[in-house]
Amino acid sequence: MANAKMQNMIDKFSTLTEKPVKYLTVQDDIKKDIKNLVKSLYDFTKSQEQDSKTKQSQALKKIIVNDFDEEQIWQQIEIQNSQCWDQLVWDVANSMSSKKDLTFPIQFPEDRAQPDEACSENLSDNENKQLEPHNVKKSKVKSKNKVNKQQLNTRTSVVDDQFFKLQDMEKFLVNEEKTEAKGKKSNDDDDEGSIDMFDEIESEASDNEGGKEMMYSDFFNDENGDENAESYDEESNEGDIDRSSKKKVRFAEPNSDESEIDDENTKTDEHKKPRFGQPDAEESESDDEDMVSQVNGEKHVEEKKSEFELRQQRLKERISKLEEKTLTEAPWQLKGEIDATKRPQNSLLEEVLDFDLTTRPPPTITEQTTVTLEGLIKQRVKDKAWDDVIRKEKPVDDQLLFKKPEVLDQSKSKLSLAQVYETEYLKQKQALSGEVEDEKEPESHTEIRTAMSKLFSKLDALCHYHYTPKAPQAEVKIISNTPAISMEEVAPIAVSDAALLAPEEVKKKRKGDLMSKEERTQTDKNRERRKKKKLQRKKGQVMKVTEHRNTKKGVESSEKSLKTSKAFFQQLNDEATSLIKSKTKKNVKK
Amino acid sequence: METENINVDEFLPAKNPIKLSNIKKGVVTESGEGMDVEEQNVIKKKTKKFKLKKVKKNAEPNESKIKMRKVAVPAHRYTPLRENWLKIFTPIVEHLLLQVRFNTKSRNVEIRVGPETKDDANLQKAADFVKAFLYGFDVEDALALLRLDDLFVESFEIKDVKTLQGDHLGRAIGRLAGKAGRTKFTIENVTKTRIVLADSKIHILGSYQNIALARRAICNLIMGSPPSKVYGNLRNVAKRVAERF
Repeated sequence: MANAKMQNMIDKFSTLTEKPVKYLTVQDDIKKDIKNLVKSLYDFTKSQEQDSKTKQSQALKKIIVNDFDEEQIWQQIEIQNSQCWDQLVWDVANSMSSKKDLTFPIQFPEDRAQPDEACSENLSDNENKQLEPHNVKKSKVKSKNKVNKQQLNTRTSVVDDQFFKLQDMEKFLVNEEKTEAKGKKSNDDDDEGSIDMFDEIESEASDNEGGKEMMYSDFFNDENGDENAESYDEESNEGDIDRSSKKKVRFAEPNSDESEIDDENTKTDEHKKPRFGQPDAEESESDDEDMVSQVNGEKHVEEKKSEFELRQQRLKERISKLEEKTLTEAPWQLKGEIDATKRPQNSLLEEVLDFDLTTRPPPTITEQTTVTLEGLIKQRVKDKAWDDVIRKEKPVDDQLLFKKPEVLDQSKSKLSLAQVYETEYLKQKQALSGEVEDEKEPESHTEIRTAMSKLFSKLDALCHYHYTPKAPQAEVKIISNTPAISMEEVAPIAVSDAALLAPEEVKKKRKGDLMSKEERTQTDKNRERRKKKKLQRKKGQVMKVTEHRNTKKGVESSEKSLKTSKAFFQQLNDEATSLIKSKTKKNVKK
Repeated sequence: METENINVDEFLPAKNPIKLSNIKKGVVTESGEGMDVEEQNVIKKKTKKFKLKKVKKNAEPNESKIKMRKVAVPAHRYTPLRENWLKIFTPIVEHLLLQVRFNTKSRNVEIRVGPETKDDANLQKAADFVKAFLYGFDVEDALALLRLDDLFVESFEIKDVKTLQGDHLGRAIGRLAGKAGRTKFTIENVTKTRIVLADSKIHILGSYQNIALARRAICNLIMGSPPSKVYGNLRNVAKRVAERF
């Protein structure tokens, strides 16, 4: 009943997973079927579980599938799995510790039934059930072994082999001796006498079932297959249980390395490492060291190799691997500078590249940034604080400005002549006296001013959006146009010729060729005339007083100055009369 | 009978007409010094005095040139003199310690050395001051004469420079003055002088060199050069003058 159920479920499963490619896309039509299958499987296995476990388990007895999404279904299954997994590992470890019991029954005819039975019971495609059949199997194996041992009256020796058994040999020898002893009496020529060379070699044929028909399989029970520790758990295939219980020869296979690695991965450190692949030194000693792992019908035959041999084997494998690596061409990733032409198309898309960015990444635009930006814009619009660029004019370096411009005042001077001469006299006096004491700033003030100006210039440089550095200003050097001799005569060494005016500064150099008045052509004459006219116009342009920086146009008084006494008194009279009139009017009104 | 030489300067009728009776008495004194008039018979000349600090009883008709100055007042300066009389005589009397009066009949400003006068040279200064005012200068400008020694007044006529007739003369005067007196003021400011243009007459007040500069400028203007040119020359010259001092 259980088996039938099981078989059903297995069939279903196989139909559903016929084409695993389909599972790359969502399959809505078989969703329900899968769910139901999972439920049935879970329930079945749970029911098959031993009672001892159900008491401790946290998993549900029956999985709930309706209206549950995949995550929840998986969670339920996982609870069950995790529990069983722990137990399974524990059991396996235990069984590994007692290795001697873990021998599969040898292919004796009376035992054949049993492995089949065991195998049939292993017909669970469910991961949950593997422990139980294994346990069952183990126990059976143990019993078988005991039986075998009893039967064989075992006394294993070092030289025992698949073909050769010391005990058998001794037995045979003993029998032969017996027969010899008997035969001596009967036959002489058989054994010790001359061997008839011309006789047909029949002995071999007769001995064996068909001498010419000696097959490999008669001698070797080996069928190449991987030994995997995992496959030990996954005894999913029933048909592959042709396990000959004979000791199996294991050839040096490249798979053995992998299996070794796999084994190591799955070991638990607490117990003796159950190695399914490679027999240990200890194992090699024992006869019935069959680590049988089976994957898809493949079998291993172990041969007893010495440590040195094994080591050598491993080394060789390693060497071969390394040689492969070095001799074959490296993949394009390891070839240094690679063009697009030298690597497969779109291969870079699958690569994870690591590089440094030297430039600043562009700012990530999030909602927050836009909100802040808009807020800033709105505030600026409200404040009318625009960032307009102010037109800047390059300061013209005109050295003539250093000359104090002579201002022609065209208005009547405010100061009387006496005052004018007075001021002049005072200036002279001050100049003669030496130091001009007017408005000497206190030192602290000048210090403060210079410090502040420096600071502000620095701040401007930092925060002014359209900053332009200050243009270098010309230094004013006062040169007195004294003749060189006078300068040289006087003793001071510090005075040099550089303080004098250059000849060009005394008289300006004339452009072009020197020519007399007779040599001039019409163009030259015109040129000179134009120059002269230009100069005259410039001379004539007198700067108005108001154009001077320091002056501002005042308010003109509209009053006419009263020049005559008559006019003065007339005006006085008029004012008085008007005043009187206005007052009388007021009185009248009142 | 003593007859004195008639003083050309004095335009007054004899103050003390010599009467036979007096002569007979032999009371006539010669000099008009001092306040002390001994004679009772002296007929006081009634002179109109607007304001007199001291009443002078002059027995003498003439006063010596050394001790007195008379400055004639032209008609057009009569009113300004009257208006500025205070400002005129105050510095003379207080600082120079002279005696001054305006003779309304003769239309003269008379200045006299008093007993408290310290320096007789001041008399001339005061006379110059008044004269300058009467030429047309402002009181404050004329005051400079009193304060500084080396200021002078130079006068000349247009016809001295160049004979111009009719329209030309008018235009010349216009050139001198400029629009609203701009040219005149410019020259004044640059050369630190004061100029008075009285029809054909030109008076310049200032120091010697400045007068020379101004005179040159004015002459150039009279002779026909445009004001712009004159300004240019003026500027250069003035700069040099300024640098020198």
